[in-house]
Amino acid sequence: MFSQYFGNYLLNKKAVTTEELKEVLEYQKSIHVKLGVLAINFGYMDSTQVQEVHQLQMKIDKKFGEIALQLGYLNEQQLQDLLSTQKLGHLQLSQALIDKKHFTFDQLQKELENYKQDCQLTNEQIENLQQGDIDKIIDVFLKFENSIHSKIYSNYTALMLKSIIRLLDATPRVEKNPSRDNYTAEWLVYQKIYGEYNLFTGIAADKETFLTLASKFAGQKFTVIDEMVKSSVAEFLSVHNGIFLVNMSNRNVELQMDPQILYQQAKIENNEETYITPIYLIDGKFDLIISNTNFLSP
Amino acid sequence: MGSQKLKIVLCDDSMLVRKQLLEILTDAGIKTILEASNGKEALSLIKEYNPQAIFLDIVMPVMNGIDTLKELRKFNSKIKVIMLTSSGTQTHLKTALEEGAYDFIQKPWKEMQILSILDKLKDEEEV
Repeated sequence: MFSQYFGNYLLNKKAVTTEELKEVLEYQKSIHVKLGVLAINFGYMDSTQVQEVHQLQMKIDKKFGEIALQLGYLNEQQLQDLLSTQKLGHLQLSQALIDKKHFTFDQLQKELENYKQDCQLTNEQIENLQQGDIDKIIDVFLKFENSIHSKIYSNYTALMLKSIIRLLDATPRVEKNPSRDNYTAEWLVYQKIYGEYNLFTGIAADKETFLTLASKFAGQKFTVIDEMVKSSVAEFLSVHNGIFLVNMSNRNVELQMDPQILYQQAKIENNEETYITPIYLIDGKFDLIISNTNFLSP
Repeated sequence: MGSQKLKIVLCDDSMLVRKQLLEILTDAGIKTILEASNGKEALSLIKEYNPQAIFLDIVMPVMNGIDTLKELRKFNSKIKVIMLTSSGTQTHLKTALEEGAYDFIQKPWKEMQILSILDKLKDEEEV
Protein backbone atom coordinates (compact mmCIF):
# COMPACT_ATOMS: atom_id res chain seq x y z
CA MET A 1 0.00 0.00 0.00
CA PHE A 2 2.77 2.43 0.98
CA SER A 3 4.53 1.47 -2.24
CA GLN A 4 1.67 2.87 -4.32
CA TYR A 5 1.78 6.24 -2.58
CA PHE A 6 5.53 6.62 -2.41
CA GLY A 7 5.88 5.22 -5.94
CA ASN A 8 3.39 7.72 -7.29
CA TYR A 9 5.24 10.53 -5.53
CA LEU A 10 8.50 9.48 -7.17
CA LEU A 11 6.74 9.30 -10.52
CA ASN A 12 5.33 12.81 -10.20
CA LYS A 13 8.77 14.10 -9.26
CA LYS A 14 10.16 12.26 -12.29
CA ALA A 15 12.57 10.44 -9.96
CA VAL A 16 11.48 7.25 -11.75
CA THR A 17 9.79 6.66 -15.11
CA THR A 18 6.44 4.91 -15.52
CA GLU A 19 8.17 1.89 -16.97
CA GLU A 20 10.67 1.72 -14.13
CA LEU A 21 7.90 1.97 -11.54
CA LYS A 22 5.85 -0.74 -13.23
CA GLU A 23 8.88 -2.99 -13.36
CA VAL A 24 9.71 -2.36 -9.70
CA LEU A 25 6.12 -2.92 -8.54
CA GLU A 26 5.92 -6.18 -10.48
CA TYR A 27 9.22 -7.28 -8.99
CA GLN A 28 8.04 -6.26 -5.54
CA LYS A 29 4.87 -8.32 -5.97
CA SER A 30 6.96 -11.39 -6.65
CA ILE A 31 8.71 -11.05 -3.30
CA HIS A 32 5.54 -10.42 -1.23
CA VAL A 33 5.23 -12.89 1.58
CA LYS A 34 1.78 -13.86 2.83
CA LEU A 35 0.97 -14.48 6.49
CA GLY A 36 0.03 -18.11 5.86
CA VAL A 37 3.39 -18.80 4.26
CA LEU A 38 5.17 -17.06 7.11
CA ALA A 39 3.17 -19.09 9.66
CA ILE A 40 4.30 -22.32 8.00
CA ASN A 41 7.89 -21.12 7.79
CA PHE A 42 7.88 -20.23 11.47
CA GLY A 43 6.45 -23.66 12.26
CA TYR A 44 3.45 -22.10 13.99
CA MET A 45 0.83 -23.67 11.73
CA ASP A 46 0.68 -26.60 9.34
CA SER A 47 -0.60 -26.35 5.78
CA THR A 48 -3.99 -27.89 6.62
CA GLN A 49 -4.61 -25.22 9.24
CA VAL A 50 -3.54 -22.48 6.82
CA GLN A 51 -5.89 -23.81 4.14
CA GLU A 52 -8.73 -23.97 6.65
CA VAL A 53 -8.19 -20.31 7.55
CA HIS A 54 -8.09 -19.38 3.85
CA GLN A 55 -11.37 -21.23 3.33
CA LEU A 56 -12.99 -19.32 6.20
CA GLN A 57 -11.69 -16.04 4.77
CA MET A 58 -13.79 -16.75 1.69
CA LYS A 59 -16.89 -16.78 3.85
CA ILE A 60 -16.20 -14.11 6.44
CA ASP A 61 -14.51 -10.78 5.98
CA LYS A 62 -11.83 -11.19 8.61
CA LYS A 63 -8.09 -11.07 8.47
CA PHE A 64 -5.99 -14.22 8.46
CA GLY A 65 -4.59 -13.46 11.91
CA GLU A 66 -7.98 -12.85 13.50
CA ILE A 67 -9.34 -16.20 12.33
CA ALA A 68 -6.18 -18.08 13.29
CA LEU A 69 -6.41 -16.58 16.79
CA GLN A 70 -10.07 -17.55 17.12
CA LEU A 71 -9.33 -21.13 16.10
CA GLY A 72 -6.44 -21.28 18.54
CA TYR A 73 -3.88 -21.95 15.80
CA LEU A 74 -1.87 -18.90 16.80
CA ASN A 75 -1.43 -17.12 20.11
CA GLU A 76 -1.07 -13.35 20.40
CA GLN A 77 2.72 -13.44 20.61
CA GLN A 78 3.05 -15.68 17.57
CA LEU A 79 0.76 -13.41 15.57
CA GLN A 80 2.80 -10.38 16.55
CA ASP A 81 5.98 -12.16 15.42
CA LEU A 82 4.45 -12.87 12.03
CA LEU A 83 3.03 -9.38 11.60
CA SER A 84 6.33 -7.77 12.52
CA THR A 85 8.05 -9.85 9.89
CA GLN A 86 5.37 -9.15 7.32
CA LYS A 87 5.42 -5.41 8.03
CA LEU A 88 8.85 -5.37 6.53
CA GLY A 89 6.80 -5.62 3.34
CA HIS A 90 6.67 -1.83 3.27
CA LEU A 91 10.40 -1.93 2.76
CA GLN A 92 9.97 -4.03 -0.34
CA LEU A 93 9.57 -1.07 -2.70
CA SER A 94 12.73 0.42 -1.26
CA GLN A 95 14.47 -2.93 -1.59
CA ALA A 96 13.21 -3.35 -5.15
CA LEU A 97 14.39 0.16 -6.11
CA ILE A 98 17.84 -0.66 -4.75
CA ASP A 99 17.87 -4.16 -6.27
CA LYS A 100 16.99 -2.77 -9.68
CA LYS A 101 19.67 -0.11 -9.25
CA HIS A 102 17.30 2.83 -9.70
CA PHE A 103 18.42 4.39 -6.40
CA THR A 104 21.40 4.33 -4.09
CA PHE A 105 20.77 4.08 -0.35
CA ASP A 106 21.48 7.81 0.04
CA GLN A 107 19.08 8.77 -2.72
CA LEU A 108 16.38 6.57 -1.24
CA GLN A 109 16.68 8.07 2.21
CA LYS A 110 16.54 11.59 0.79
CA GLU A 111 13.43 10.84 -1.29
CA LEU A 112 11.65 9.34 1.70
CA GLU A 113 12.34 12.50 3.74
CA ASN A 114 11.13 14.68 0.85
CA TYR A 115 7.96 12.61 0.59
CA LYS A 116 7.07 13.18 4.24
CA GLN A 117 7.68 16.91 3.96
CA ASP A 118 6.06 17.51 0.56
CA CYS A 119 2.91 15.58 1.42
CA GLN A 120 2.75 17.15 4.90
CA LEU A 121 2.29 13.75 6.48
CA THR A 122 2.84 13.23 10.17
CA ASN A 123 4.99 10.38 11.40
CA GLU A 124 1.81 8.65 12.55
CA GLN A 125 0.26 8.96 9.10
CA ILE A 126 3.41 7.62 7.50
CA GLU A 127 3.31 4.71 9.93
CA ASN A 128 -0.33 4.00 8.98
CA LEU A 129 0.64 4.00 5.33
CA GLN A 130 3.59 1.73 5.94
CA GLN A 131 1.49 -0.69 7.92
CA GLY A 132 -1.06 -0.76 5.10
CA ASP A 133 -3.92 -0.16 7.53
CA ILE A 134 -6.61 0.63 4.98
CA ASP A 135 -9.14 2.05 7.43
CA LYS A 136 -6.58 4.55 8.65
CA ILE A 137 -5.37 5.33 5.13
CA ILE A 138 -8.93 6.32 4.25
CA ASP A 139 -8.93 8.74 7.18
CA VAL A 140 -5.61 10.22 6.03
CA PHE A 141 -6.73 10.94 2.49
CA LEU A 142 -10.51 11.14 2.36
CA LYS A 143 -12.87 13.54 4.02
CA PHE A 144 -16.52 12.67 4.40
CA GLU A 145 -17.05 14.89 7.43
CA ASN A 146 -19.70 17.00 5.72
CA SER A 147 -21.93 14.00 5.46
CA ILE A 148 -24.27 12.64 8.07
CA HIS A 149 -23.19 9.24 6.76
CA SER A 150 -19.45 9.86 7.09
CA LYS A 151 -18.77 6.63 9.00
CA ILE A 152 -20.73 4.54 6.51
CA TYR A 153 -18.93 6.15 3.56
CA SER A 154 -15.52 5.59 5.17
CA ASN A 155 -16.33 1.94 5.87
CA TYR A 156 -17.70 1.43 2.38
CA THR A 157 -14.66 3.00 0.71
CA ALA A 158 -12.19 1.08 2.88
CA LEU A 159 -14.02 -2.12 1.98
CA MET A 160 -13.82 -1.21 -1.72
CA LEU A 161 -10.03 -0.94 -1.44
CA LYS A 162 -9.96 -4.36 0.23
CA SER A 163 -12.22 -5.76 -2.51
CA ILE A 164 -9.86 -4.44 -5.18
CA ILE A 165 -6.93 -6.18 -3.50
CA ARG A 166 -8.90 -9.40 -2.98
CA LEU A 167 -11.00 -9.63 -6.16
CA LEU A 168 -8.86 -7.83 -8.73
CA ASP A 169 -5.45 -8.74 -7.32
CA ALA A 170 -4.50 -5.10 -7.73
CA THR A 171 -3.08 -2.48 -5.41
CA PRO A 172 -5.26 0.62 -5.22
CA ARG A 173 -4.37 4.16 -4.25
CA VAL A 174 -6.89 6.83 -3.31
CA GLU A 175 -6.56 10.56 -3.57
CA LYS A 176 -8.41 13.31 -1.80
CA ASN A 177 -11.98 13.58 -3.05
CA PRO A 178 -11.86 16.46 -5.48
CA SER A 179 -14.68 18.95 -5.67
CA ARG A 180 -15.92 18.79 -9.21
CA ASP A 181 -18.86 19.89 -11.23
CA ASN A 182 -21.41 17.58 -12.76
CA TYR A 183 -19.70 15.33 -15.22
CA THR A 184 -20.40 12.60 -17.73
CA ALA A 185 -19.11 9.09 -17.07
CA GLU A 186 -18.14 7.22 -20.22
CA TRP A 187 -19.17 3.94 -18.60
CA LEU A 188 -21.03 3.52 -15.32
CA VAL A 189 -22.21 0.55 -13.30
CA TYR A 190 -24.80 1.63 -10.79
CA GLN A 191 -26.40 -0.19 -7.86
CA LYS A 192 -28.82 0.95 -5.19
CA ILE A 193 -28.56 -0.37 -1.64
CA TYR A 194 -31.58 0.18 0.58
CA GLY A 195 -33.05 -0.75 3.95
CA GLU A 196 -32.19 1.03 7.17
CA TYR A 197 -30.61 3.68 4.94
CA ASN A 198 -30.14 4.29 1.23
CA LEU A 199 -26.77 4.11 -0.45
CA PHE A 200 -26.43 4.75 -4.17
CA THR A 201 -23.18 3.31 -5.48
CA GLY A 202 -21.38 3.43 -8.78
CA ILE A 203 -18.17 2.69 -10.60
CA ALA A 204 -17.41 5.15 -13.40
CA ALA A 205 -14.56 4.67 -15.83
CA ASP A 206 -13.33 5.39 -19.30
CA LYS A 207 -13.28 2.61 -21.87
CA GLU A 208 -9.70 1.48 -21.19
CA THR A 209 -10.11 1.26 -17.41
CA PHE A 210 -13.49 -0.42 -17.83
CA LEU A 211 -11.77 -3.10 -19.91
CA THR A 212 -8.99 -3.38 -17.32
CA LEU A 213 -11.48 -3.88 -14.48
CA ALA A 214 -13.39 -6.52 -16.45
CA SER A 215 -10.20 -8.34 -17.46
CA LYS A 216 -8.88 -8.43 -13.91
CA PHE A 217 -12.15 -9.61 -12.40
CA ALA A 218 -12.92 -12.24 -15.03
CA GLY A 219 -9.31 -13.39 -15.30
CA GLN A 220 -9.22 -13.07 -19.06
CA LYS A 221 -8.07 -10.36 -21.44
CA PHE A 222 -10.78 -8.24 -23.05
CA THR A 223 -10.11 -5.74 -25.84
CA VAL A 224 -13.61 -4.56 -26.78
CA ILE A 225 -16.56 -3.70 -24.60
CA ASP A 226 -19.09 -6.46 -25.13
CA GLU A 227 -21.79 -8.06 -22.96
CA MET A 228 -19.24 -10.16 -21.08
CA VAL A 229 -17.22 -7.06 -20.18
CA LYS A 230 -20.32 -5.26 -18.93
CA SER A 231 -21.33 -8.34 -16.98
CA SER A 232 -17.87 -8.62 -15.39
CA VAL A 233 -17.69 -5.06 -14.07
CA ALA A 234 -21.31 -5.25 -12.92
CA GLU A 235 -20.59 -8.49 -11.08
CA PHE A 236 -17.52 -6.97 -9.43
CA LEU A 237 -19.61 -4.12 -7.99
CA SER A 238 -22.34 -6.52 -6.93
CA VAL A 239 -19.94 -8.91 -5.18
CA HIS A 240 -18.32 -5.98 -3.40
CA ASN A 241 -21.70 -4.55 -2.36
CA GLY A 242 -22.71 -8.01 -1.20
CA ILE A 243 -19.70 -8.20 1.10
CA PHE A 244 -20.70 -4.78 2.45
CA LEU A 245 -24.26 -6.03 3.07
CA VAL A 246 -23.00 -9.12 4.88
CA ASN A 247 -20.69 -7.01 7.06
CA MET A 248 -23.60 -4.75 7.94
CA SER A 249 -25.87 -7.74 8.53
CA ASN A 250 -23.33 -9.12 10.99
CA ARG A 251 -23.75 -5.82 12.87
CA ASN A 252 -27.54 -6.29 12.82
CA VAL A 253 -28.09 -3.70 10.08
CA GLU A 254 -30.16 -5.41 7.40
CA LEU A 255 -29.81 -3.97 3.91
CA GLN A 256 -30.80 -5.16 0.46
CA MET A 257 -29.77 -4.21 -3.04
CA ASP A 258 -31.33 -3.86 -6.46
CA PRO A 259 -29.80 -5.47 -9.54
CA GLN A 260 -27.01 -3.40 -11.08
CA ILE A 261 -27.69 -1.14 -14.05
CA LEU A 262 -25.14 -0.28 -16.71
CA TYR A 263 -25.02 3.10 -18.42
CA GLN A 264 -22.96 4.61 -21.19
CA GLN A 265 -22.41 8.40 -21.17
CA ALA A 266 -24.14 8.78 -17.79
CA LYS A 267 -24.53 12.28 -16.39
CA ILE A 268 -23.50 12.43 -12.74
CA GLU A 269 -25.04 15.09 -10.53
CA ASN A 270 -22.49 16.12 -7.97
CA ASN A 271 -24.44 17.47 -5.02
CA GLU A 272 -23.30 17.89 -1.42
CA GLU A 273 -24.10 14.32 -0.47
CA THR A 274 -22.40 12.73 -3.48
CA TYR A 275 -18.78 11.74 -3.04
CA ILE A 276 -16.64 10.92 -6.03
CA THR A 277 -13.38 9.28 -5.06
CA PRO A 278 -10.72 8.65 -7.71
CA ILE A 279 -9.14 5.23 -7.23
CA TYR A 280 -5.88 4.60 -9.02
CA LEU A 281 -4.64 1.21 -10.10
CA ILE A 282 -1.25 0.72 -11.68
CA ASP A 283 -2.91 0.62 -15.10
CA GLY A 284 -5.92 2.90 -14.88
CA LYS A 285 -8.18 5.07 -12.75
CA PHE A 286 -11.86 4.82 -11.94
CA ASP A 287 -14.24 6.87 -9.84
CA LEU A 288 -16.07 5.35 -6.92
CA ILE A 289 -19.33 7.25 -6.48
CA ILE A 290 -21.36 7.03 -3.28
CA SER A 291 -24.35 9.07 -2.24
CA ASN A 292 -27.49 8.92 -0.15
CA THR A 293 -29.46 10.28 -3.10
CA ASN A 294 -29.74 9.21 -6.70
CA PHE A 295 -26.74 10.86 -8.37
CA LEU A 296 -27.87 10.24 -11.95
CA SER A 297 -29.08 13.28 -13.83
CA PRO A 298 -32.36 12.70 -15.65
CA MET B 1 -26.89 -42.02 -11.23
CA GLY B 2 -23.57 -40.70 -12.58
CA SER B 3 -22.75 -37.08 -13.17
CA GLN B 4 -23.68 -37.48 -16.84
CA LYS B 5 -27.34 -37.96 -15.96
CA LEU B 6 -27.57 -34.98 -13.63
CA LYS B 7 -29.57 -32.08 -15.00
CA ILE B 8 -28.68 -28.73 -13.50
CA VAL B 9 -30.06 -25.20 -13.93
CA LEU B 10 -27.79 -22.17 -13.61
CA CYS B 11 -29.81 -19.09 -12.71
CA ASP B 12 -27.86 -15.84 -12.47
CA ASP B 13 -28.30 -12.52 -14.25
CA SER B 14 -24.52 -12.33 -14.67
CA MET B 15 -23.36 -13.75 -17.98
CA LEU B 16 -19.87 -14.05 -16.48
CA VAL B 17 -21.04 -16.20 -13.57
CA ARG B 18 -23.07 -18.46 -15.86
CA LYS B 19 -20.09 -18.89 -18.17
CA GLN B 20 -17.72 -19.72 -15.31
CA LEU B 21 -20.16 -22.20 -13.75
CA LEU B 22 -20.90 -23.76 -17.13
CA GLU B 23 -17.20 -24.44 -17.67
CA ILE B 24 -16.81 -26.06 -14.24
CA LEU B 25 -19.90 -28.23 -14.62
CA THR B 26 -19.01 -29.25 -18.17
CA ASP B 27 -15.50 -30.22 -17.10
CA ALA B 28 -17.06 -32.23 -14.27
CA GLY B 29 -18.99 -34.27 -16.83
CA ILE B 30 -22.46 -32.76 -16.47
CA LYS B 31 -24.15 -33.09 -19.85
CA THR B 32 -27.41 -31.23 -19.31
CA ILE B 33 -26.91 -27.67 -18.10
CA LEU B 34 -29.72 -25.17 -18.54
CA GLU B 35 -29.24 -21.42 -18.25
CA ALA B 36 -31.61 -18.77 -16.94
CA SER B 37 -30.96 -15.08 -16.32
CA ASN B 38 -33.83 -14.58 -13.84
CA GLY B 39 -36.16 -16.56 -11.60
CA LYS B 40 -39.06 -16.57 -14.03
CA GLU B 41 -36.97 -18.21 -16.75
CA ALA B 42 -35.63 -20.72 -14.23
CA LEU B 43 -39.13 -21.77 -13.12
CA SER B 44 -40.12 -22.45 -16.75
CA LEU B 45 -37.00 -24.57 -17.28
CA ILE B 46 -37.65 -26.52 -14.09
CA LYS B 47 -41.24 -27.28 -15.09
CA GLU B 48 -40.13 -28.42 -18.54
CA TYR B 49 -36.97 -30.41 -17.75
CA ASN B 50 -37.39 -31.47 -14.08
CA PRO B 51 -33.69 -31.03 -13.15
CA GLN B 52 -32.19 -32.39 -9.92
CA ALA B 53 -30.49 -29.16 -8.86
CA ILE B 54 -30.32 -25.43 -9.42
CA PHE B 55 -27.65 -22.85 -8.62
CA LEU B 56 -29.73 -19.80 -7.79
CA ASP B 57 -28.63 -16.17 -7.43
CA ILE B 58 -30.70 -13.83 -5.25
CA VAL B 59 -30.35 -10.29 -6.63
CA MET B 60 -31.78 -10.51 -10.14
CA PRO B 61 -34.19 -8.51 -12.28
CA VAL B 62 -37.73 -9.74 -13.10
CA MET B 63 -37.88 -12.30 -10.26
CA ASN B 64 -35.32 -12.48 -7.45
CA GLY B 65 -33.93 -15.71 -6.03
CA ILE B 66 -35.90 -15.69 -2.78
CA ASP B 67 -39.25 -15.27 -4.58
CA THR B 68 -38.16 -17.93 -7.07
CA LEU B 69 -37.39 -20.38 -4.26
CA LYS B 70 -40.80 -19.75 -2.66
CA GLU B 71 -42.62 -20.23 -5.98
CA LEU B 72 -40.59 -23.32 -6.75
CA ARG B 73 -41.51 -24.99 -3.47
CA LYS B 74 -45.20 -24.75 -4.39
CA PHE B 75 -44.77 -27.39 -7.08
CA ASN B 76 -41.39 -29.04 -6.53
CA SER B 77 -40.05 -30.06 -3.13
CA LYS B 78 -37.35 -32.38 -4.44
CA ILE B 79 -35.03 -30.15 -6.43
CA LYS B 80 -31.80 -29.25 -4.60
CA VAL B 81 -31.47 -25.48 -4.47
CA ILE B 82 -28.00 -24.07 -3.99
CA MET B 83 -28.14 -20.35 -3.31
CA LEU B 84 -25.10 -18.72 -4.89
CA THR B 85 -25.23 -15.06 -4.10
CA SER B 86 -23.38 -11.92 -3.15
CA SER B 87 -26.25 -10.99 -0.85
CA GLY B 88 -25.66 -13.48 1.96
CA THR B 89 -27.32 -11.44 4.69
CA GLN B 90 -28.80 -13.01 7.82
CA THR B 91 -32.30 -12.37 6.47
CA HIS B 92 -31.62 -14.08 3.15
CA LEU B 93 -29.79 -16.96 4.78
CA LYS B 94 -32.64 -17.53 7.24
CA THR B 95 -35.34 -17.37 4.56
CA ALA B 96 -33.41 -19.65 2.22
CA LEU B 97 -32.95 -22.27 4.92
CA GLU B 98 -36.61 -22.03 5.97
CA GLU B 99 -37.59 -22.66 2.36
CA GLY B 100 -35.41 -25.74 2.28
CA ALA B 101 -32.34 -24.52 0.39
CA TYR B 102 -29.77 -27.30 0.06
CA ASP B 103 -26.71 -25.06 0.43
CA PHE B 104 -25.78 -21.39 0.57
CA ILE B 105 -22.62 -20.01 -1.00
CA GLN B 106 -21.55 -16.40 -0.52
CA LYS B 107 -19.83 -14.81 -3.53
CA PRO B 108 -16.99 -14.62 -4.36
CA TRP B 109 -17.04 -18.37 -4.75
CA LYS B 110 -14.24 -20.77 -5.49
CA GLU B 111 -14.28 -23.66 -7.96
CA MET B 112 -13.58 -26.04 -5.09
CA GLN B 113 -16.88 -25.09 -3.41
CA ILE B 114 -18.84 -25.90 -6.57
CA LEU B 115 -17.03 -29.21 -7.09
CA SER B 116 -17.63 -30.19 -3.49
CA ILE B 117 -21.38 -29.64 -3.90
CA LEU B 118 -21.35 -31.56 -7.19
CA ASP B 119 -19.75 -34.52 -5.41
CA LYS B 120 -22.45 -34.43 -2.77
CA LEU B 121 -25.18 -34.23 -5.40
CA LYS B 122 -23.72 -37.17 -7.32
CA ASP B 123 -23.42 -39.29 -4.18
CA GLU B 124 -26.97 -38.58 -3.11
CA GLU B 125 -28.39 -39.23 -6.57
CA GLU B 126 -26.63 -42.60 -6.64
CA VAL B 127 -28.15 -43.56 -3.28
